[in-house]
Amino acid sequence: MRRLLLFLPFLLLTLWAATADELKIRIMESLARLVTHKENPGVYIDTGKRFDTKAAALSKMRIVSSCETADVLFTENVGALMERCRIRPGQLVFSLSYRDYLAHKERTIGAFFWQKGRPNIILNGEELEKERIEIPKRYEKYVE
Amino acid sequence: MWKKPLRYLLPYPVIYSAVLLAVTVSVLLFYRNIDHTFEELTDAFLRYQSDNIEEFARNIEVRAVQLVPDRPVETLKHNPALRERLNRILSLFSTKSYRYVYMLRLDDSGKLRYVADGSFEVGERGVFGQKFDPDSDAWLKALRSGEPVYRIQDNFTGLWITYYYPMKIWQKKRYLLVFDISLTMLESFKTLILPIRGLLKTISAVLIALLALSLLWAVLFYFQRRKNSIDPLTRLYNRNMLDEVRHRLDLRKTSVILADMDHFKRINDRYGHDTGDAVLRHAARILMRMTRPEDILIRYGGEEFLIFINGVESREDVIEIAYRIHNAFSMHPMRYNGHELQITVSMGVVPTPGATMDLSEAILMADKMLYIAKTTGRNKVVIFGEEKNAPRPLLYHEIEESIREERIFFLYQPIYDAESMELAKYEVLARIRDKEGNVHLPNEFIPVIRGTGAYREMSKHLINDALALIREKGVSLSINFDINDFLDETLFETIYDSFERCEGLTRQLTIELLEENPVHDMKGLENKIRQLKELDIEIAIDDYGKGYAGLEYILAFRPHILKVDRYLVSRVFSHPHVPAILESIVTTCRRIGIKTVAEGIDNELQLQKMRQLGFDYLQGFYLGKPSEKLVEEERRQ
Repeated sequence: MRRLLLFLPFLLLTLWAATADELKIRIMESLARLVTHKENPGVYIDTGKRFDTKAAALSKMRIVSSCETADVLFTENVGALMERCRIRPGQLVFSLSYRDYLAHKERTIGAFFWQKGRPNIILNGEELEKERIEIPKRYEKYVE
Repeated sequence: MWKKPLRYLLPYPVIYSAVLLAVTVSVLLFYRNIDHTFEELTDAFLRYQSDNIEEFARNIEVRAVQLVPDRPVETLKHNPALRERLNRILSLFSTKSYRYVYMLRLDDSGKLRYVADGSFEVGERGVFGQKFDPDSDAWLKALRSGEPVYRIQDNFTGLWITYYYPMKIWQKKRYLLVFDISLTMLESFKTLILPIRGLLKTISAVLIALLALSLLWAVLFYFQRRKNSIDPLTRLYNRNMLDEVRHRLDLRKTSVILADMDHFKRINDRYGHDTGDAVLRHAARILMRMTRPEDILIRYGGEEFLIFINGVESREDVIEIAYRIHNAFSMHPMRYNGHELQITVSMGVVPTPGATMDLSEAILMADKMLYIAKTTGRNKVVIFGEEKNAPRPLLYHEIEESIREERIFFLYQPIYDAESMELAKYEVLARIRDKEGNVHLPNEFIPVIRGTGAYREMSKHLINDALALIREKGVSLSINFDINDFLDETLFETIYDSFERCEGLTRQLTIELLEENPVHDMKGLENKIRQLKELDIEIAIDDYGKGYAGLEYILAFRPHILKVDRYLVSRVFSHPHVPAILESIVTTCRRIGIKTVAEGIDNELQLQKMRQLGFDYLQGFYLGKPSEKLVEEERRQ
């Protein structure tokens, strides 16, 4: 039952989300707010895919077009991002691919990727600790 | 006016509506069950898939345990080749329908992690040890129960069902085989059952269309039935309704009244059919007003109305109702197009048909009572059981028999010269004596035989007797004919031949023209009158001043005599206008050479007044009642 409760935020998200894109945006928003503790974190999304702009506009995160002004960066290729942007201390990177996450684990705060039609979330325990980010207990199941 | 008729038509729409409602509900349930059936088919399909998957899973278990007999985590962690072989085993079951087949392990921290994954698609294959975020607790149920559990997936996943199979090998309640079934399979399944669903929906649509047609038909049927059951003129039920109400009437508590409007044909002929229609509507209104909602009114025939008085308490009540209806007609004369028409009805009443009569017998009996009312003077109510108090009407065969057996006889009423008060002539009045010895007046038998052979026979008899009397006694006689009798060629020839044979006697004969019905062929009649005049027969217009007899006849027939009706004579002292009217009639007739007769003189005052007014002849009970003997014979006796 407790485990079930842990899933509740995502279950609710799943129920409410009308589309996968909308759900992705909401999860990114949750992750960004979780790790920054900011109400309206600036988020840079580095992906070839275009997101549902309406869903993005409705979210509490600020989608920024420059990686420099972002609090949180989501990317499909951490290596390329690192080459392109100078990541400031305090800026947090999420990988949008598990393999990419494994390859750049020491430089990412976690991963969020879509596999088998479902969202998967990994929070990098070491990085969280390094960045001194405290997360609520209910998110601990995502910590690796 | 509609309220009453609808009472008896309403139960049918209620029944139709109930039937249609039942059919509508059935069709809707059927339609609803199509979806339910679809769900049941889906469940059956899932059960079938479940059996398949369980077989797949058991096969995988056999192969997996052959590959890794025990300690799978430790073994696979350090042996990528073995992991790949396990992946390949799983990939054997991974198809377009079974989109993802993978193996998960519950680790000590309660997280699910990939052990192997048969997925081919880039980015979809889970890596050994990779955490798997479940989207429900179905996996937990499967592990706990040891039984497979499936979950219907959300649309955004692109999956239909995820099937969790708890593996029986290695460490129990730790390993799961997961089958993600794609929407492709659902689509294939739908492709299979959609035609059936479509067929069922088509059947439903056809049923709904039929239902709508039935509803339309029911509505049309109702309106048609209403049209067929209701007389459009009076808005009462028509005769068709008799069959409808027949089985609903309890004759022990229902009285039957048959009412017929008196002289309706006259009204129609004289004032036209529009007036006739107005009279019928007027009658219907009176009947509606005088009956209660639970009573039934039927326009039974042309001017005949059948009334069923329901819930009858006593015979006396019904008789009272019948008289109330009858009186209502007298109390409410009809005004139409400036005319005031006094409508009267004759009524036959069967107050308590009871258990001894069925409806047809009761109506027949009411008709007999009506016949008695009609033939004994009209404008009266004859009650079944009391009809013996009323004069019994003669039937046709009885009249025919009376003529044949010479039980027809004639009375002679004297007509006096007003100036000299000497006997001028006699009016011959026909009577019939029935077998019981009762004497019947002309209005009791003439209407029954008019236009028949018996009527011609009687006329012949009358003429022959009259002519014989003229020949024998040398008296002058006046005989009556209906004005339309002369339009009956056969009858006219009979009359004319009789007169022609006794040409010398006809000088002492007067024919009094009565008018039961208006004349349609004035020209033809003028011609006939002219022929009679040529035989030196005097022509008199009878009953002048009442009914149809009017100036038109004076102009057309140029009569020798005008007999002023007793209606005017009897009112000479009671109505202020009558003396002037009578005086004017006498003056006019004198100027155009027509003699006048005052009929119905009943007392000395009337006698003197008529003499004073200048009438030429006088007639009435005061001067002499109709008698079988002539005055001369009586005097002699």
